[in-house]
Amino acid sequence: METHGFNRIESLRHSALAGLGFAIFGIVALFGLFVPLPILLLVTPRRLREQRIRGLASVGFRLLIRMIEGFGLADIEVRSDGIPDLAGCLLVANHPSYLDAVFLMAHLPRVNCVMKSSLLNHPLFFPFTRLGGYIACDNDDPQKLIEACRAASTRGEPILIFPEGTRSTPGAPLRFRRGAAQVALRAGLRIVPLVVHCDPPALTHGHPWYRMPDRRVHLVIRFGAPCDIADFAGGSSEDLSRMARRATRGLENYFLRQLSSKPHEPLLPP
Amino acid sequence: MNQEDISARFHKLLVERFELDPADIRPEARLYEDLDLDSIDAIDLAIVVRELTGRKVTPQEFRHVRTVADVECEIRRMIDEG
Repeated sequence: METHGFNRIESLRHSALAGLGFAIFGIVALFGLFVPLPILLLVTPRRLREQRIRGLASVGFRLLIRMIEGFGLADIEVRSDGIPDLAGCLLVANHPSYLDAVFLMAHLPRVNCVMKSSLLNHPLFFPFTRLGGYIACDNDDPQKLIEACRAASTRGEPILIFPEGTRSTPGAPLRFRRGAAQVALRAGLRIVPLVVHCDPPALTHGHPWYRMPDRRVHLVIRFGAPCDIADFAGGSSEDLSRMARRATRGLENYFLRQLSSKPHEPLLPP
Repeated sequence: MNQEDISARFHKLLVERFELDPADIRPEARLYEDLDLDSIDAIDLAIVVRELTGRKVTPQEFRHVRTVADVECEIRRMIDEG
């Protein structure tokens, strides 16, 4: 790969466009809070509420992605041998950038997501994140988290989870926490690995919107086939805590291997 | 069963269940910070204690538990009472 000097003008241009895009999105989100959302709440029967709110959020996210792509800031691509049936599965993804979560929520409107409390308490987004029925990453009551995931899966919702717990730090080794493996094990969920490549790093730790790269970001999301958590643990075990530890390491190693292969190559099984 | 037996059994279960290094299981070792247990492991820890004492553990009893020594103390108390 040929190196090139860092083009500061391009980076500034990209940052200005990113700022513009987010400002527009912010205005749209505010509008969404005050007009479509209350109308939706008024006319929607209780049992359809969460689904419709997620649909509304996904419309907003699709707009943001359109802008980001339209401004030439990024191109985002999904690679898969056909998208598998995701119903009730735990979608385990690495998280190099905000863009991956935005894209997935834009294009998988039914998807549930295990969210940090900062999102559920976000001053602008909390009506969506709370009323959308997303799952809270509750460290104080893990049983609640496990039950919430089990219930969502039974309803047929795919559940997106980021084992890193936050966005990756570019250059730092992947560090998966045990929550995703524990949930898969104890709630009995099948796993779909989503390997996300983001080159160059953007909208990640250390690269906020005002420090965009000087060239277009390529984001590739590779979908794997549904598999069992035991496949990452080298077999089943009655000892769940031990198995969760092995599975977490297995997931980390799997993602490390797949991230070092080319994005256009199909994902290997675990 | 005397104190040493209980300790030995408890340490053995910790090593097996949580993949710990026996050298790390000192009395003053903090469960969360030093042994990397988390809130889900706490559920399994309660099961370990139940296996050792034959008694179920209530969240109340374990609210103040922070170190290995704390757990062993609780185990001894539960065995003495039961």
